[in-house]
Amino acid sequence: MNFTCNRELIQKCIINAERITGKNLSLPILSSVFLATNKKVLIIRATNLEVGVEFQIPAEIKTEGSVAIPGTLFSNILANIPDEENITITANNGVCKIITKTKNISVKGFTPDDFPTIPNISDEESFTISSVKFIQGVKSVLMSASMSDIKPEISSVYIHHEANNIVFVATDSFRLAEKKVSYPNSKSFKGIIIPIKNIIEIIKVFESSNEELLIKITKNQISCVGKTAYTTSRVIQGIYPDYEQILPKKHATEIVVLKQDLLNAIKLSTLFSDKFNKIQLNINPKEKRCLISTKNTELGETETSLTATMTGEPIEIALNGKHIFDCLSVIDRDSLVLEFNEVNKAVVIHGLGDSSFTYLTMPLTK
Amino acid sequence: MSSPNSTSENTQLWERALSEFEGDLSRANFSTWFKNTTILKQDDGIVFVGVPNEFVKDWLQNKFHKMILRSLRNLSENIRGIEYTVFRVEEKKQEKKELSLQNTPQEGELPLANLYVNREDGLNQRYTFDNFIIGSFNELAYTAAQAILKKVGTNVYNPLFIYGSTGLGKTHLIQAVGNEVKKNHPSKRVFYTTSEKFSVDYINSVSQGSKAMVVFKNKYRNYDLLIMDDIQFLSNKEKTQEELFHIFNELYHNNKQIIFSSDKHPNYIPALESRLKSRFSAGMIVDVQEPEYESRLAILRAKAATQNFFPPEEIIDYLASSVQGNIRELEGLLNGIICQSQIKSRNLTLNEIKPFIKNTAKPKKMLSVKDIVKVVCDFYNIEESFVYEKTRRKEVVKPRQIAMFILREDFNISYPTIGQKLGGRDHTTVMHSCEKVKIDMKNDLSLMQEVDQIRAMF
Repeated sequence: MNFTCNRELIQKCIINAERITGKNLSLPILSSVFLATNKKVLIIRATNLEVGVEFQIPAEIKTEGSVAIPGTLFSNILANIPDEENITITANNGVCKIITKTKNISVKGFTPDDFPTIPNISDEESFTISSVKFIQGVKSVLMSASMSDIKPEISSVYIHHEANNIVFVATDSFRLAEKKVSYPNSKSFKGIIIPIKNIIEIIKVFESSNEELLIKITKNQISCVGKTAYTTSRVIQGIYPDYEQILPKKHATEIVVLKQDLLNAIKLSTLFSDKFNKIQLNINPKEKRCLISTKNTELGETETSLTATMTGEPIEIALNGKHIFDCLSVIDRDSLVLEFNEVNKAVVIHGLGDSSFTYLTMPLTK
Repeated sequence: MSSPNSTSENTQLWERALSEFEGDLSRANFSTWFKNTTILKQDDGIVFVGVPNEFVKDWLQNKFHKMILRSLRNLSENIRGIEYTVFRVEEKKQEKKELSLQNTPQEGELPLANLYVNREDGLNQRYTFDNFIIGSFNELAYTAAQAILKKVGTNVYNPLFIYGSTGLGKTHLIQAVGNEVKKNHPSKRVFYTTSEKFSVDYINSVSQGSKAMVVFKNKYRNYDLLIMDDIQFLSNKEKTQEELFHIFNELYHNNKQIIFSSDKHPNYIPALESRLKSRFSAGMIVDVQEPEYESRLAILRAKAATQNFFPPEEIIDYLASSVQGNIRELEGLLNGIICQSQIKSRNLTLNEIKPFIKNTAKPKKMLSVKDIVKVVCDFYNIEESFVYEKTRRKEVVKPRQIAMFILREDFNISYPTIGQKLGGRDHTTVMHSCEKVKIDMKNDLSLMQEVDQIRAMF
């Protein structure tokens, strides 16, 4: 094998591919990235058998062939030759040579025949979505997914179709985020549950591009097909909880605050909160009082009075400050609405006049 | 689901094939590609190999297909081809200790747990026939359920009445019927409820006036398949029973399928109207018994596999042979063992498991003579003390004799002891009483039913 390609282009792909390579797996070849030539393109593959990724970039090919080389090493090599515009790679008898104008590097590779294939799934069910919208949808809910492996259904992002929206949901059973991305005339598809770790890798691959993605779904697998990149991941074969049932339909108390005000107040308050990030809200619409306070026996205490428009019943409630903090960054409005019911019922947060994003967090019990 | 015989044949075949591959491949290769693979079924010479994900499917197909086919052919001549299908039982990892400490003390949880239940029809989608294990203990009930699926409503099994004690899979079975009907006939309206919910619904609509009542009546008359669980809780609720009776008639005459479950035979549900009893008996009454050894073995294996836990065969065997009784307890015990072995991060030995069973398994119910007398007296509504006194009033004599009879027949207590415990009577008196009840029971049907009802209470 012998080809020459743009250094920056290949580096971008290798950084993404390297992240996916398996690090603690028993099969050593999984820690490598696979390079193969095909006429005028270079194919780069990596997989950890959960997620698979494949890139195609243009290259000038002298002789066809393939090689598998350790991903981390390759990525580090590329990071340390930032001045080079083009690099030439040759492979012969399992030894891979990376040649630039001034450098000559040899890397021991693996037998490329042992590198797994990346499954290509049928498109019995599919839809297209712009990569920007897809990533926005996933990122809006990502922080709410459970990070533990105990319940695979909820350590995941759930994507389903509803009227003119594609809906992204994640919950760790203490809070829940739902993002509706408007997509008129899109095809209806069955809901899919994608493991959180896998979807993070998928969106990183498409993060810097703005293109139409073709999403293909089967019972076991999801694939995202872009112009130059292809990713695939297993999906969880379970039933996602019918979360819509727990979205409160009415509320007893409502406050509207400026996002920046709330953000500052929470940042300050969490300096004093305990390990559960407990912050105390005291709202009384009649007396025009909206206080956020925290107490810490060792450090001291804070109290912030927020300027807010309030309606409804007075309420005193303890919330997890981190949960509120997490959702503020994904709400792109200047004003926020917080809706309360009882002290032990979920609190709803959304942007003022924005129904596309809904965030639920459970109060802390005393 | 295939019969247990062919499953074990498939397992054997695959194990032999795997041992060949193990020799041919490097350890890393073998464990990466053949872990969690299995033969799902064989059909007309085609072997269906279940693999954990698409990556493995792709790789086996492209890389190892020839090798697998060759060795399977060597082992069994009539194999013509192999199909690979992704078959994954979702891994459920047990909660780690520190994690549960982090979350539980303060934080309220979103009520997600019961959201697996469909709002419209009350069915839990997790109950399907795919994860239902059939053994001789529930074969009859399963067959009846399958017959219903073929012809919903217009079969001889309408109504189907399934009874058996708690934790034997009744709810699983009847919900699975509901889910299956829903899948096969999306237009059919299926509804699952418990008798408790039904009566709450009824009471609510009564209290809300005639309009709500009409809504209630129409609601239940609209279903093509009505499933009512735990019907025994209807006892003593006369008006609810009457309402159910009318709904039943309406549905039955329109050839709508009805399924009931209960922990007792309809005849032994106390304070149940006889017209309901007779209607329950009009279709098919089947019981679900406690699983026998082989079924317990199969259940344990399946439950362990869904948790991705593969304990040594001797442990499964020991559990199945030493723990009798209901499936729920069996499951609880298995969960405990899985949890223990995850904490220790190794498989437990047989000796470590033995004390575990001693602690968890249900002790055999201990009943004293007094308890039995109390049940009998409660049944006949007389004061307990009369039984021990020397009175020959008719309303006391009969319960006393029945108590003696039950003590002798069911608990094998000697005649002299019975006499002594029941107010210091001679053993001949006891012998006479037992003899008398035995003979009377043959001639008097209502006496027989009474005795059966009392027995059902132990």
